Amino acid sequence: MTEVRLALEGIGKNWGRLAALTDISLKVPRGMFLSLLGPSGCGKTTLLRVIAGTLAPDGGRVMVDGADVTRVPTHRRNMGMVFQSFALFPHLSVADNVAFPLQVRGVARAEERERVSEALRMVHLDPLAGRFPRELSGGQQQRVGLARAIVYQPTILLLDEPLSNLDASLREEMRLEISQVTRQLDITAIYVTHDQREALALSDAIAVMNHGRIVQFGSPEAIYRSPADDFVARFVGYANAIPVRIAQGCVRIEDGGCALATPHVGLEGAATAFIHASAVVLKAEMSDGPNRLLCTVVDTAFMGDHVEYVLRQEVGLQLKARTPVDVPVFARNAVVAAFLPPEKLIIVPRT
Amino acid sequence: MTAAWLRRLLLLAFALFITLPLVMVLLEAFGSDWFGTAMLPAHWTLRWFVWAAQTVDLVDVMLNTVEIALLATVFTLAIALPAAWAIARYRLPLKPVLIGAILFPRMIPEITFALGVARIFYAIHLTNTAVGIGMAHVILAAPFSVVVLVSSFEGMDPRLLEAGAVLGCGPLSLFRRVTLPLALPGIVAAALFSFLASYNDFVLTLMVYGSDTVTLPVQTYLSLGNGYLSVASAISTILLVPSLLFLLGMLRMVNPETLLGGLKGA
Repeated sequence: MTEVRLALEGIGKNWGRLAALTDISLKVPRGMFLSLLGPSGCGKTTLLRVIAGTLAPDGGRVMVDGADVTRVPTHRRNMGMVFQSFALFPHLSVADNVAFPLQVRGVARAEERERVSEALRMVHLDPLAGRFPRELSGGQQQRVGLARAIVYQPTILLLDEPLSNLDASLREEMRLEISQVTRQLDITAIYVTHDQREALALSDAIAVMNHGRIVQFGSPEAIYRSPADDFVARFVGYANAIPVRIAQGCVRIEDGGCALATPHVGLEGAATAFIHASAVVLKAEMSDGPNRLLCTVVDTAFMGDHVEYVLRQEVGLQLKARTPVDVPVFARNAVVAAFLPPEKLIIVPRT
Repeated sequence: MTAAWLRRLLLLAFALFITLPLVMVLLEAFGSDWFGTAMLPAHWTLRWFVWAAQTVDLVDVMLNTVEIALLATVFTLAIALPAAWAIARYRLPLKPVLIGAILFPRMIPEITFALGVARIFYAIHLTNTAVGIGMAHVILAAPFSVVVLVSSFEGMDPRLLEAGAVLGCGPLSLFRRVTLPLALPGIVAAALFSFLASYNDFVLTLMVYGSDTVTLPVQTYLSLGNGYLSVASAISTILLVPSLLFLLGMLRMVNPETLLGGLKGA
């Protein structure tokens, strides 16, 4: 297969007695866009800093293009980095910020100018080359940060939550910018985020992290369709978690006792059934079909292009549903039949 | 409307209150036949400056003053830069005690301190030397310099240093390309204040000066002792020039709020 650009072998890092990273191993082929996805404190930023070299791991090896760089200082690793806080140099203009890594590397003046303007063109900032960071909006500052990180053709581009300091309206625009630039350059990128939508939209592969470990590694589709455990399922946005008990292949909702039809189950004992809010089908009380739960509407919210419901089943189980606006809308306190289509249910072991 | 005028009037009155003594010195230096309760001198003249130049070796005195001030600035920065870096960047045991010790000399009467300095300097023959007086002036300049520099270093985003390293800067190049430019306004402010603290000082200098190290403030005092108020005023006016130039330059170069921020950080 394609050559491995970055390999982590058994990386460990402790903060005092707290394990920040435990036995992290992964391989990133050249040109892959990998996201490290997880909640705050899961170790994803710590891992990024180990790759960048600003933090030394307690154990394990960082390999770049087959060479061990674990002990190589940051400034000799030729990594590109985009920071959550932008980290632009306030005393330098936009053009000088982008030129900075080239000047450090002693690139000739003419070539420097050419590459700076090319990088600025790529992020559509060429008209602002003479401005200073404080004169730019957050979105523009982060585009400068991106241009500065790619202008010297780094071996790997590291992005540390680059969108989280931006207004919601700017985030999507910047995400597209990052996507286009990284594809255009065919650069190997490692993207740290706690936002599963960003990770799903941008990545070739995602490593979901929790408590300093990689709990699942796979393509966005694989992670979304078949989460490895209930942490991953919750994290990638399954709104409904239904505790179930499985005995001899028969899945029953805990407490409720009601049996669920599911496509395939190779598990026994306690598990969780997940289903997306948009997969729950609401029909009038008297309708019939598989996996029918009789619920009361606790709350509804009209969201413009869809309607959101909070439902409560007789025994106390709470469900979220999201329906298109063109189907009948149920009022608060109405009794409805909620169907959980078997093919949309995912059963994972409880952790 | 009236409130706005009242505010302006108050501000003007305050400005006058502060600057009136200076105005009096200027009038005394450039006027003659100014007696009793007259608002202004009867005549204008440069005679006192000529007298000052004739009776005193003004160039020598000015060179002394500047030489001592430059030495004091260099000594102060040599001590204040590492001290401020350590205070701002590292967890030090007894940090409050350390800061207190640095500020302490400014909180006791200067004459008391000067007596002690004189006692030491007599013992080791440092009186009447530019180096000795410059060292003594460190006491005056260091506290403010440390405070300004600490605030300047503390305000420096550590992530910028990290960014510099990732972008390819080794420790030296990082210092030259990132740390120094970011700290420069604070360093310039500390240097200017150190220079002026020494340049303007009278009490400490008086206790340790000698015939080779007469400074402008001391000369003003000596001329006054000889009974020439107008000559003393002329010398004082010359003494004022660099301070005013520095003030103007500083207000243009350094954001005044950096300095206030420095005070706040104390």
